[in-house]
Amino acid sequence: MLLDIQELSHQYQSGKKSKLAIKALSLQVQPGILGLLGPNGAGKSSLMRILATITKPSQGKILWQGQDIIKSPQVLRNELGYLPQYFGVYEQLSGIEFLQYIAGLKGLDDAIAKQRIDDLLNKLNLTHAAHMALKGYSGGMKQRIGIAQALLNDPKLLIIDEPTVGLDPQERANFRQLLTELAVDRCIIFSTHIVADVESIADRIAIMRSGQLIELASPRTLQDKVANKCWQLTTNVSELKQIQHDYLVSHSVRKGNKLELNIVADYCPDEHAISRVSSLEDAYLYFTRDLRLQTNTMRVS
Amino acid sequence: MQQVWQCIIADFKQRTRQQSFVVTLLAMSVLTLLFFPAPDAHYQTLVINGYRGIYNSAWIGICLAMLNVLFLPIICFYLVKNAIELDRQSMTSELIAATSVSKLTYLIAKWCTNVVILITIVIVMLLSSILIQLYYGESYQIDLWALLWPQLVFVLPMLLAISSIAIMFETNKWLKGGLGNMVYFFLWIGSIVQSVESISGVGALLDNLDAEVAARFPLSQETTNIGISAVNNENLVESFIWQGVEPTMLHLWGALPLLFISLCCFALAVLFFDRFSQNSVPEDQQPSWLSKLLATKKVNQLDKFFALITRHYGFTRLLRLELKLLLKGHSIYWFIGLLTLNIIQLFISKELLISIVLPISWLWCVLVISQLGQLDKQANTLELMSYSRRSIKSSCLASYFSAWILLLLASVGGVLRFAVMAEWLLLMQLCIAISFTVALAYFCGTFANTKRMFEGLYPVIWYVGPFQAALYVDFFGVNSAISWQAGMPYYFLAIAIALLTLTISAKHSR
Repeated sequence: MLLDIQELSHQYQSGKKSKLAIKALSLQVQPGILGLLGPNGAGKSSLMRILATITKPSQGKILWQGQDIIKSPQVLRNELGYLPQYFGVYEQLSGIEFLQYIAGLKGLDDAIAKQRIDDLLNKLNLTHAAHMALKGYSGGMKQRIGIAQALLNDPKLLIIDEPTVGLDPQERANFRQLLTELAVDRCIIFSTHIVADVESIADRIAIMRSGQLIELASPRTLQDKVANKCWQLTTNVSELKQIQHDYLVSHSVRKGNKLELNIVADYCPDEHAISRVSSLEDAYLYFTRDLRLQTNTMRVS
Repeated sequence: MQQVWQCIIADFKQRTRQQSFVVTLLAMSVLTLLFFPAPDAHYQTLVINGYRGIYNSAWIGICLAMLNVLFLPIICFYLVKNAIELDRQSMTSELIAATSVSKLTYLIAKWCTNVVILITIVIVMLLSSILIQLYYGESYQIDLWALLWPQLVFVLPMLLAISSIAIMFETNKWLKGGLGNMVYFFLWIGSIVQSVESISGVGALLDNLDAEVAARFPLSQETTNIGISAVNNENLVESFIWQGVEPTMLHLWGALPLLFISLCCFALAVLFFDRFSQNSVPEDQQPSWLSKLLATKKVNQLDKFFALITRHYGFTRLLRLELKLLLKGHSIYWFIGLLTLNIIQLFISKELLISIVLPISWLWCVLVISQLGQLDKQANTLELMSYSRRSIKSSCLASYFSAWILLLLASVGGVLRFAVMAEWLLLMQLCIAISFTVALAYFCGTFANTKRMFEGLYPVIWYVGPFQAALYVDFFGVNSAISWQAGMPYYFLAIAIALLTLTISAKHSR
């Protein structure tokens, strides 16, 4: 089971100009969870829509189990679960009616659909609201209906774009647990801004910036790559602005009238700075950092 | 099959579990009532050689079918031309596009739902007509077959065609918006005579009825009229007992052209439908030099000028911004068209200016002013607007007058001509017409929450009023002297004020 993305490029119209959203991206997705990280506008959602066979790319190839899904999207659609970042529901239908509808579209047999729907409503804690019209659902409940519809056909490839938006901490934890259970025998691509969501469950992390894949490794390897670049510095509040200008500050904690800063930099930023343990967030910020900042850091060092 | 069925059920539930659907059914019941006027009413809808049949099942069945063939194409098209749009707007399309459902299956399901919805409407009309028959009491014998078969033979094929045409329009990128609504209106205008005479098979039936009445009342030399015809008090239409006819092969053959149209339009829809994808653009696609020059450089200069002259008052600043919002995003060719129409207005004869060029110039703006009243809903900025604005009244008035200015800009050539010729009454009538048109657009947008209502309604009023110069709908004053004599400008001004007041009140209460 393999999704093979080869030299994928995609250009789209942005106002009156055309913009390259994805530039020659190559990636192989194997069973397990692939966390897709990147800042806004990195091209994550464009990539997701292309992989979900909604958008046709300008160039490149995508093979699912060896078959080209740009030419024959139906091959993948039968085995696909997709939760887009922004989606809507038929608000006049109840949760169960909406899931029956999506199950129908996915071509599921009635009996199987009924069993899957009951099972998913139960897993996602929606059984009590199953017969309630969707217009009465809260944001988190609608998001869980979105997750349920993606899992209806027991997909071999699950693509989820910012799935934890609108979920409370408990629901997020439950969702991570559900994904871990699902990841045993399928490919899951999980796009998010929230590093903590993928840190504990992703087998591999892909980092995108400006439409390009800039890093692909396990969370541990990424952390190791920045292990000697993470510093902690306790400083005065008044110096924060200058430090933020010169370095990448990943975290700050106020301690009395001082500030404890976590800095990511190639070189020790200050004689009082001490080395600290790196996190995935440090790695993400380091690889997606502003290049201007990188130049500044080099200059200051 | 399972996919189609689930799709139809969900789509039908989504579209019918709304208040607007119940309102539609009620409106269609009222329309049915209007189809069958009381014997002493001032109008009749089906008069054959000066006679009408008594209200028995045979006559009501045929009459309902004929009037449905005439009027349902325009009403029903606008009712069902949102099947795919609904999925796009609600963003359910994102989920549907990633399922294994094929283009064909999805469109068949949407088409079926359209048909089921339209059939529901006709059933409600049919039930209403039974009540009407009992109410008038000219015959208490209900013959279900006589009521039903004309709907099956004449109306059903037309409903199939409307459903396909609506789907085809929705899948075509040029026709899915307001332009499609206008194009369809003119298609309908063009098809009425054709429908009555041949396509639907109603024409043959009308000929049979004509011949039958002529045979029964050979001395009668009156006209045959289908549609709305006025009746004098002294000269009421006579009635006769008509026992009806049975459907023949000829009637069934009449349905074939409609079935063919339905099939062709559906095939085109399958061809056009993009399955909610966003296509990639070729690398060399760049905006034209004309677009660059006019849209960026010249418009920016104009905008700076307007900003300068409107900066002193809060209302004028808002007015400029509302006008800018209304005009943003339209093709440069639309502006060129507007300019061309203004130039034509300067050089054409007065008669042609009033009866053709000015009405066409306004029709040119319909797709822009139809945004009034629902722009915030369409752009999902309702909440931002609600807390940002200082006064609902002033923001409503700014929206209203921005569209007012736009229509004035569309008539600058005409206004200059009227001023030079000192045609002050015409000028005043033009201002009233602008006030009425904009108030109607704002009212429709606010209450229907969709652009389609104004885009569908305005061409009808435009066609019957300014274009055909029907006195009571001629808000434009094509026959100015007669219009002033009848006091029409005062009525339209009063309607404009009433519509604007209702709109502002509705905005306030929300």
